[in-house]
Amino acid sequence: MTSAQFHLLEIKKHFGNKLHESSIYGTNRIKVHVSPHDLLEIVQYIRDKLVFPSCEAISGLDWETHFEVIYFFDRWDGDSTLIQVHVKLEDRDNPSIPSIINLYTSADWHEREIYDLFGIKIENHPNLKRLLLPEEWDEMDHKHISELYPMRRAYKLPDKPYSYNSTKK
Amino acid sequence: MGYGIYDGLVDFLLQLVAGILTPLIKTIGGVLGLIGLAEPEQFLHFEVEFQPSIRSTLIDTLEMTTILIFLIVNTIMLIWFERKLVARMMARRGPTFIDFNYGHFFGRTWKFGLLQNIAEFLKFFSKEDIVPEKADKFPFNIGYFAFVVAPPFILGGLLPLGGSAVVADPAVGFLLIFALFSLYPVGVLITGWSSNNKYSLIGAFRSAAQLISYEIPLIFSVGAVVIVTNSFSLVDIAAQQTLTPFHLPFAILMPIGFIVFMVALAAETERIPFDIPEAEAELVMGWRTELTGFRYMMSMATEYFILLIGAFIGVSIFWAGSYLPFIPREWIDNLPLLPNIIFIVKLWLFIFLFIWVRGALPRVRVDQLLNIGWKRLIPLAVLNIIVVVILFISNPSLFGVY
Amino acid sequence: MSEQMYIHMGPQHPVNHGLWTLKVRTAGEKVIDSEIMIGYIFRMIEKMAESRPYDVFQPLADRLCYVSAMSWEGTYIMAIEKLLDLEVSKRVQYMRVILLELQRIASHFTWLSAYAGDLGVLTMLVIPYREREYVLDILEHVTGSRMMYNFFRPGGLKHDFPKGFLEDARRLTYYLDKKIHEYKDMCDDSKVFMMRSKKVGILSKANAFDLGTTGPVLRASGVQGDLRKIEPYLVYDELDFKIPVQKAGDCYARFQIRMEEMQQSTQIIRQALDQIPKEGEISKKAPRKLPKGEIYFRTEDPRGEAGYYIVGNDDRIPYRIKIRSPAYNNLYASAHLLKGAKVADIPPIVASMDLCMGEIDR
Repeated sequence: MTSAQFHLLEIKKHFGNKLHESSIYGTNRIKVHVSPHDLLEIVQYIRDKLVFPSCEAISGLDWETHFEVIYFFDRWDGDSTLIQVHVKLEDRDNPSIPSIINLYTSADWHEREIYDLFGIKIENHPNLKRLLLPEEWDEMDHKHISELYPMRRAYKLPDKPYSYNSTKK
Repeated sequence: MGYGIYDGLVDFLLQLVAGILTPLIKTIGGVLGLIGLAEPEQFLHFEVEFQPSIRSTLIDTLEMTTILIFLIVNTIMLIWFERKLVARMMARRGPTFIDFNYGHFFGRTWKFGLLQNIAEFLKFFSKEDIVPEKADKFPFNIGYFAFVVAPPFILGGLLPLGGSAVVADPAVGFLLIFALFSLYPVGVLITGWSSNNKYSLIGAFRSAAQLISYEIPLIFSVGAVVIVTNSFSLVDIAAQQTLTPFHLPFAILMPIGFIVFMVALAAETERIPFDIPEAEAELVMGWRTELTGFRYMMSMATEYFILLIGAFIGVSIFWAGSYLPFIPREWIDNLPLLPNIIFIVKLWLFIFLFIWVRGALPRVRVDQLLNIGWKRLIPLAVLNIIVVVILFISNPSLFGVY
Repeated sequence: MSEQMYIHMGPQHPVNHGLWTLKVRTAGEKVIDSEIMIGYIFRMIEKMAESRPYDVFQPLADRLCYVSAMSWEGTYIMAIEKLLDLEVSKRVQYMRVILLELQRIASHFTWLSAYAGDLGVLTMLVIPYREREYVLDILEHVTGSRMMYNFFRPGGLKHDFPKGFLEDARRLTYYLDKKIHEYKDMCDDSKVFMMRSKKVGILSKANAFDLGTTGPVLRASGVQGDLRKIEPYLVYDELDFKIPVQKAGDCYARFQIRMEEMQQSTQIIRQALDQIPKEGEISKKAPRKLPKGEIYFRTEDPRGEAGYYIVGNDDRIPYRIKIRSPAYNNLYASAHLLKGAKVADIPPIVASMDLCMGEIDR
């Protein structure tokens, strides 16, 4: 049994009914789907019991029908297993997710970035303001409302002569 | 005292003026006598004579002009020398050539980048003179020039140019130079504070802390020399080093003092291991962040000017001025210009040491700097004084006292 | 010392090496708190990636970091290959290892000169650029470009090595070995350099994990975290090299790690030059469409873990590309290291993180 299978088994044992879906892809990537209110619990378990001390990245993903937030956790002790926690956010109009900053300090900027680019509200984040875009971006004039959160699928890159256009040819 | 080269010239000039004025006044007297306004006999044996003070003033003026021109030319050469040398240490070329072809002013390109500093001098003068809007205008304009730029220019007359060639040799000697140096932090503080910039403010406070705390080891380190020579005069101190065994200079006889002096001088001149006030990595340009154009140029030039003056002091006190070890004093003194040439060569060797250090070392942190100053250099300087005093009492001839 | 003031360092300030703002709250010479503001060169590269075919995005992957463009485009192409399930020949894998390690050396030389320059050693600021330029020359000889290579292709490389490259590269590694040793000695012998680097910006092991640092910063804190060993990609598992690890976690440990890593890189290059197969397919046709699925692929960038999270949607255009930048987390960690440091410690701490704003702002 590989390390990834072992960890997945452990997670399944503890959160059997709370996991929407769980699988292993590649050789050592564990993929777990949970709902937002179970997030803190499973992240706590991953950090303390499975000993994954590092949060690599947090990625947002806009599926047009719903949002998904993906957390990457890593061990860094010679074991290359990496846990991906996928959180599905059904409420498209008012998406929000609890902050894991109390568990992983490095989540700070990643969460701010998700708020900044996807418009997903982070609950209990101590310093939730825009990171990459200007802080007063909301008050600025925009051509289209989709410019507020540019990484959503609704926002299309402006059609300029030099930009790639998939509809041509 | 004095260089002695202008005596003949001044005598000749005064005689020339007297020779023109005497017949002129005699003629005027004759004319007045004819009209009847004066007695012609009064002017019969008239001779124009000048008071001796006029002669000495004239000589002093010429000599001060000479030393100032010497210092300014050497400062410009020093900047060029440092650029070239540091560039070679960094495996680059430095200034290579400067085309001074402003309407064929010089008509040709000068090699080795010799004109680089002149060109930059012109460039800085053509810049707009910016006084920051929020700055405190009066201290910003005045304080800096009064306390930073002016004092070094006053010092010219006190610096010996080899042998006994010095304009003025007062009894307080180099104490006067150090006293004028200690005006520097005042000017830095005024400029940094009044320019209303946080970088300048931090830089100015660092500068003041550094300069004040390093004046103590600097003066302590030469204390032993003063005890031994019983004089503050740079000329006397240099001359005494010819009376020691094998004419050895004080740098070899009191090495601890020499090292303390060098380190403290590097800190006083804000050169690279101790250039914390202008630490460009965190403070952009330190206390001179807001200086532009000719203000900036003057501040940089003053820094090099002070290094040059420091080299004058160091060479005179520790490197025996214009005298060499193993060679009797008379051989050097009796040849014309030789003392001056030896002195200038030593001056440039001394400066070379500082440039070398600049090319090799990072800068220290401000708390480390103060630790070095208060915990290492001052005890070392005191230790130097104790050792020298013990040696001096047991064997005065070691330091040239019989 | 009760008077506190804010100092803004940036967006244009010598400490930054790029465009970002460091806002520090100081009491005298002591840093109480600091805040980092980024986003000055935010180009939305992730959005650009999801609005054009995956092969058209490759030159943009180069632009993520101007100091180590090769590793970013390499990571991207390898992630795409993994998603496409595309095998490349052994020869191409060895060639990629050689190029990536050369890039690592060039990047670390840039770091060395930036770090030394921030400490005030202007000589060390200038000299390492000479060696970096030799490395860039040889990369230019291969790829035709000094910095933005655009050389990797899905399924291989753009073309084979030019004639005489293997001998040139071998000669270069011996020369670099000598120079790296010389610079290490120059810095180790300098007492002032040690005073400024040792016990400055200490990052404990727990904090290094918590703040998400990777790469040399993590290894300087006593973690053997190198993806070339943990999760070998290309042919790193066939090569013999050591991963330097230091316990101290200060700026000097990071300096040592990077210097030793350069020495290891020259060894890797020499081994790869020895073992590279003579024959092998250089390029291969890759499918035009990304299959449905996802991949999180990561490699050991000079700065740490460079990762791409790619979601394919049975289309030429990837559905989503998330770029995981190592410098992003390292910069975040530096704000925590600055607490309680002196103002003069800001440049060495920030420089020892080896920042590259291109990949932080993306």
